[in-house]
Amino acid sequence: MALFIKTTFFFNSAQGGWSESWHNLTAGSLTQAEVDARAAGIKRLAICGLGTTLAGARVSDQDQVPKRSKLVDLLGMGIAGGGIVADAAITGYSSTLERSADQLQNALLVRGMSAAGQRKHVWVAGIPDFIIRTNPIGPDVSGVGGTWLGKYGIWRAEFQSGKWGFRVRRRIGADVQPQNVVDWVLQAGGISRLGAVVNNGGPVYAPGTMVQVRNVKVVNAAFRSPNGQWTVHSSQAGAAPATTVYYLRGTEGIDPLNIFAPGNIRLVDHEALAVTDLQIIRQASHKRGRPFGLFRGRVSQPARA
Amino acid sequence: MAVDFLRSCHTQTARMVQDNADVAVLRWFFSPLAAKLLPIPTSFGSLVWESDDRVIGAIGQVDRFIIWDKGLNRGYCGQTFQGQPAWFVEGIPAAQLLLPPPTIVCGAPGFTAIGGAEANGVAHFMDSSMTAVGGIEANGSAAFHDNSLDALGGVEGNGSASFMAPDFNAVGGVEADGLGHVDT
Repeated sequence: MALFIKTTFFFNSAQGGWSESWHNLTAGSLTQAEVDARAAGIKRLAICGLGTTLAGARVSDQDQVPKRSKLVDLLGMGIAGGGIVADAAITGYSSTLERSADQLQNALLVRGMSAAGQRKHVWVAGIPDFIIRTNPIGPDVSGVGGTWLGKYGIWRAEFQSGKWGFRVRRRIGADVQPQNVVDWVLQAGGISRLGAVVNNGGPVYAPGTMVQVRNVKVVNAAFRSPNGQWTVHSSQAGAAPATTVYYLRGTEGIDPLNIFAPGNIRLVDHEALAVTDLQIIRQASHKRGRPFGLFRGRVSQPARA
Repeated sequence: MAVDFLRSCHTQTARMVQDNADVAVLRWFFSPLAAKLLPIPTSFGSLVWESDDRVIGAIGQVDRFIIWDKGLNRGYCGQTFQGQPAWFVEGIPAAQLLLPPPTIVCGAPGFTAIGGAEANGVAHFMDSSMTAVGGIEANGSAAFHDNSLDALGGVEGNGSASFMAPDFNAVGGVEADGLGHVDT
């Protein structure tokens, strides 16, 4: 498992804040990841609207045990107001109205593609209002002027350069193939932790690794099923010859007597794939949560000319 | 110093000591706006931003089980950190636990607490000239480490409580249901 360095950017605006996470595949150290975060953060903030600030970033080494994180102070990076400077000049909209416009929920839905064809959609929030209003249905933003588009091109080139990637479930490899569970047992000693009994010779799960249990059927829907993802707490040789029992954390209360189809179990592992292409899918208002006393979704109308 | 970015605060369990499986209560609270960010890597960053759980037995937070906390800052200015940089990655050496905590935090002795209450956690009042009036600490490991502590009506209950001060003046102090010490 190699996930490299997770970089999370923290944005603030008048309406609230949000975060965006990417995986840095080339930094190799937290020190270099911090440098990369500063460079990428400037390009990201440049396509944001008025009032958006980039408070900081957090770099976290995913391959270290224990994981090590470090904060990056990005306040005062010198891009006041993001890309809003060209807003009024390009669109002719009133800058006064723009200042009261909704910035937080204006987002581009961007699709990142990997060389292997796997993809991930990312909401790029904080986009200036005129992007949303000019092209409410299409991905073509060329009509809004070259200033913002140029900044977007710089950001796009940065994040599709191969340095940045996204985290996906690893599905290739013998160790992630499912193996049948032959029986379910309870851990002795009054712990009552559920254990999956598998035949030896298949993938081995170390304590602390994540596994996924699938296709378990219980005798009645009223009983809890172990289907889902769990962390392996411990393992020991099974009572039957050539078997191993993997006890799962948090499964106390699940009675193996209620299981009549034992299902299968597989390792949950992830990898980070480099983004080789970024495409705007659409522009929209990305609904986030619900302020107290208000309805869900966009709560303010976009400013009109 | 600020250890991580969080929008709400909570308490949770964490392993803090090297080569020690014991867990302690870790409480997140808000730092002042002027606080600096911790300039060194740490293993005690929040799991909120991590994609996976910690490795069992490793230094840092044990799991994702949290209890919401108001995040009240009790006087930490966030301008410096205590201890060695390596401790933030490898954990605190066990020998350090035998030493008294620093008497000056944030370089500002003179902390005055009136009516302060702390519950269900590890509470410390560490100051050089603290005056506690009506302070209450309950259900946790509570310690008053001071050189000239004046406690009026202080109450500590249900935990490991210790008053360690060379010239401690206790008026009406009560300690109950735990390991109580008044060392003067």
